[in-house]
Amino acid sequence: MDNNSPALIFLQDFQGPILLLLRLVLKDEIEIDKLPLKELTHQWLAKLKNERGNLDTGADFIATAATLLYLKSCKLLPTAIPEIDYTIEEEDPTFSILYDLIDYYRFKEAAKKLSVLEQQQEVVYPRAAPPLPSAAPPDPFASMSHIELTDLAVLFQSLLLKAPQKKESIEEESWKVSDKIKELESSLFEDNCISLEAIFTPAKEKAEVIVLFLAILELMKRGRISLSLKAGSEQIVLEYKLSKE
Amino acid sequence: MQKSSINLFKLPLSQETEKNSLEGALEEPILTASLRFELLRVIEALLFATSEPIPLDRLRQILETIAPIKPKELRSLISELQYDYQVQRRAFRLEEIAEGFLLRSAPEFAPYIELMVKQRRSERLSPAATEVVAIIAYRQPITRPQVEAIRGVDSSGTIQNLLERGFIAATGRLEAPGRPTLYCVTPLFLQHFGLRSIQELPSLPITT
Repeated sequence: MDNNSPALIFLQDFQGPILLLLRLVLKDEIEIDKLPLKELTHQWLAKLKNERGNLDTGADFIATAATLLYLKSCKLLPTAIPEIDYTIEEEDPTFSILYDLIDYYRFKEAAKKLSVLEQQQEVVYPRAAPPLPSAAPPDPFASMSHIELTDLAVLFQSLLLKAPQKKESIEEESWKVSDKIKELESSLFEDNCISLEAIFTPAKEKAEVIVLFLAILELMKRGRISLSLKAGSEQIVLEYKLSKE
Repeated sequence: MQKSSINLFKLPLSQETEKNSLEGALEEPILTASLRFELLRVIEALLFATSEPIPLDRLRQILETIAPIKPKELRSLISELQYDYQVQRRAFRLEEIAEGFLLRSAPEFAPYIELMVKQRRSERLSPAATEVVAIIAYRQPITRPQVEAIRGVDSSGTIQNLLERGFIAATGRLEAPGRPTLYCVTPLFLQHFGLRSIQELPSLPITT
């Protein structure tokens, strides 16, 4: 991660890290049209093959090299000779790109300063252990970390087998996920902890089982409930999470 | 003769102190020494019991259950504690960080603490992530396309990463086509970089 050894570049008129090159170009110390970018790219590709994997410096280089290439192509392309004097004055493209680059460069410098601050912070320890990850935004998958997708699939299959094989014609939706969510929430409101078995008993018809199952998944997605294995048994328990409001 | 001279000497003085205390009572009540000491100890206890910066207002709220206290007085109490720790050469410091106050170990003891905790305090940000968080910090609130316009590269992954680490947060949406999300840095960001407040960010270099 450290930029201890920035990749050096050896060109005819320049030797040093690529960021310095960009800086010099920006300051007009080096003329961009005379830079052999092909050579530069070759050198870097060779370097990348040797290093294998330092993505950060690699990405940095590609960004910097791309801007250099862009600058150069802008400079080399003949600017169309305006035959009619348009009333709207067009911005000099090199200027606007340079302006963007300068802006970017300022942030790059600021990021370096921040990195220094970050390193200084590493030697200072707060009073207790660092805050628990619970301070981070709730992870929608946290509530099912110990339940594999296959577990859910197996459960669903077994429930399907239990459901009476009843044939019916498709008419109006008799079961809605939103209704089931309300139903589940109200029963969870009374009893904070319900086993999954209990929810699906008494045996329900197939469509209802599916809708109920979807409702449970939806509630989990919203982070309203969590599923967990009851200690010492095979039972899966639904738990209601109190809203944070 | 002696007595009268003392009286003569004392009279103007006592008048003056009376006047002073009257003015003081009107402007700001001076905390009595014992109350001050008690407040100091409560602040110390609060700082001892927390691992996250306590904002000044929160401290004040708690201390006001004992006696009304002005922010200025509270600040002076805190600097007194800071001074005490310094004079007593404690191994920890009372620092203002992320818009709050926190006790932290002095840097020179890091080698020993590292032996105890056996791991870095928190992972360093990658150069790219530092860059993105810098842009957000200086230009907040800012949308992802705006960040990308400055960097010239796709930054969605980095922004997602920063969101997950809690360094930035979505604070709203820009009233523009697509209503893009606006991002700001969080107190955790300030804490990670040891900044007192967003105003304490190092100044942006000016290039011409």
